[in-house]
Amino acid sequence: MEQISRSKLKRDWAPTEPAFRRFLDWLSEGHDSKGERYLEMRHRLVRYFDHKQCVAADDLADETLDRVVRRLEEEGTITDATPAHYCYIVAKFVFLEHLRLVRPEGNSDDSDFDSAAIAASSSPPPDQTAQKMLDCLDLCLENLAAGERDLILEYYRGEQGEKIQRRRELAEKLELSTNALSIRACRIRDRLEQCVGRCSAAS
Amino acid sequence: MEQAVTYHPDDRLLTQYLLGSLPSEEIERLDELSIADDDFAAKLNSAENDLVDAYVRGELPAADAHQFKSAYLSSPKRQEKVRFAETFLSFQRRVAARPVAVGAGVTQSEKPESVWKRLLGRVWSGTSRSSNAWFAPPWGLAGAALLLLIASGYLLNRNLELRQQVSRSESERALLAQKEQQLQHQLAVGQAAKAANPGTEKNNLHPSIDHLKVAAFVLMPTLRGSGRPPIVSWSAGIDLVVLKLELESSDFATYQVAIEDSAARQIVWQSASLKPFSEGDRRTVSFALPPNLLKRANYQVQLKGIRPDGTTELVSSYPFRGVIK
Repeated sequence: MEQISRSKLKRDWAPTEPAFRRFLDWLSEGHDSKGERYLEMRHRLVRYFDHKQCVAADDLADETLDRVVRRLEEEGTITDATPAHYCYIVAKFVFLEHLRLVRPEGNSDDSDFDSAAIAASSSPPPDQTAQKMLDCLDLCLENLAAGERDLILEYYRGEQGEKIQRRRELAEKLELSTNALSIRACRIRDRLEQCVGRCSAAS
Repeated sequence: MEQAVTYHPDDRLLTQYLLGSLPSEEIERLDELSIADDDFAAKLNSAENDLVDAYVRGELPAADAHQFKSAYLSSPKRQEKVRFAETFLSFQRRVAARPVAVGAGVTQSEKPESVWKRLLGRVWSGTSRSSNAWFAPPWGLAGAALLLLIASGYLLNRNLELRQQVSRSESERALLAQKEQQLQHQLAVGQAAKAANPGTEKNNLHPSIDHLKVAAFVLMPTLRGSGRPPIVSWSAGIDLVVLKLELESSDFATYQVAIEDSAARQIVWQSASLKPFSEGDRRTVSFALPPNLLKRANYQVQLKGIRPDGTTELVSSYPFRGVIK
């Protein structure tokens, strides 16, 4: 009984604003990342759960972050791991709990995903949808700053073989390391993907 | 404090991880790094985008492609990534197709093109629709591109400012090449330049930008009860007439304009598709045409929005009176 009420209490727990601010500060290790670090960590967690075949990857990522915020609130600080590593430890527990919940013993299927639904949704989109997405991409590209638009188009242009050299030249031109260029291109692409997703869903 | 060890895996390992084809202990190790290690997480992001792009381009080896379909595509989120990559590829091919259509058999993959060449190729592809007689070697187009840039810049900030832009553009050529909006604009100007100076490229591969004479005008949409149409005047030696239309609204991603002789009720010129530009909070569409298409007469510029299915809708009309000085 006590266990149930504790569990319910935890489930109903929601971070307060000061707690969340403290968490952001802790996650960014003292630097003001203006929320970027939080978004980045959430992105990593979503990808982790998604690669683990969890259909509710977003919810599990949020649950992980909630737990970290709560622990930080309760303990005042966490010193036994780096913030990112601590997030991983919590995510692993959340994943194992999720497994126990949705995949009882004896069920050897390690995926949440409904294969029939996947087969249906992975079929190529009809022309109309493809055109809609293309129109949305046009709009979303227009909404990017000119430098970002140029960068992403140049970065992802061409065949695989020629990309490496082109990226090296682009990095040189922009006076960035290839690693920094790649991070920048990925961030722009993430934003474009989100924009196109929102736009296609709305239209 | 426990510190994640920075790990620098090669691309092949990342690919295998993304395709779910590593042993479980290795997967767990990389799972940890994917969250706890900034470098690894960034590399994984990049590798994932490249893997998805390679799949949609058909560049994956057969075994990887098979694994991609059976493992990677099992998640709706990842399917979304693939759809985005397909869309992005379509966009890139659409852009790349323009120079290929014109490049006399030279494709982009055969040798890296300079940005200028690509830029010019796009302009060229737009102009080649109406006539092949204007064809000149690619470097002949370099001069035309300068003409195009000067013409569009004159509209905005007159020649001096645009020349600075051209100069900047050369130094940023990798970036400039991808500016779809600018290309559309240049395409419009290029069509006019071609028609206005059909022999230029054959006789002079590098025409001087200083010699281009442009008359530029801004037109407003027709208002009910508005009086006499504005005058668009040009002298006999002018090379291009550039018109900029101010849009009342921007409901379309692309537009087309047609110029109608008001008395004869005859279309004298029609543009290809044009992209609107943003100038502060205003949206405009610019195009250029050779002055010899116009005479002393009243004209209506009909602005049509192009719907996604390719059909058009009349948006507004812009009257003007042509006057040769």
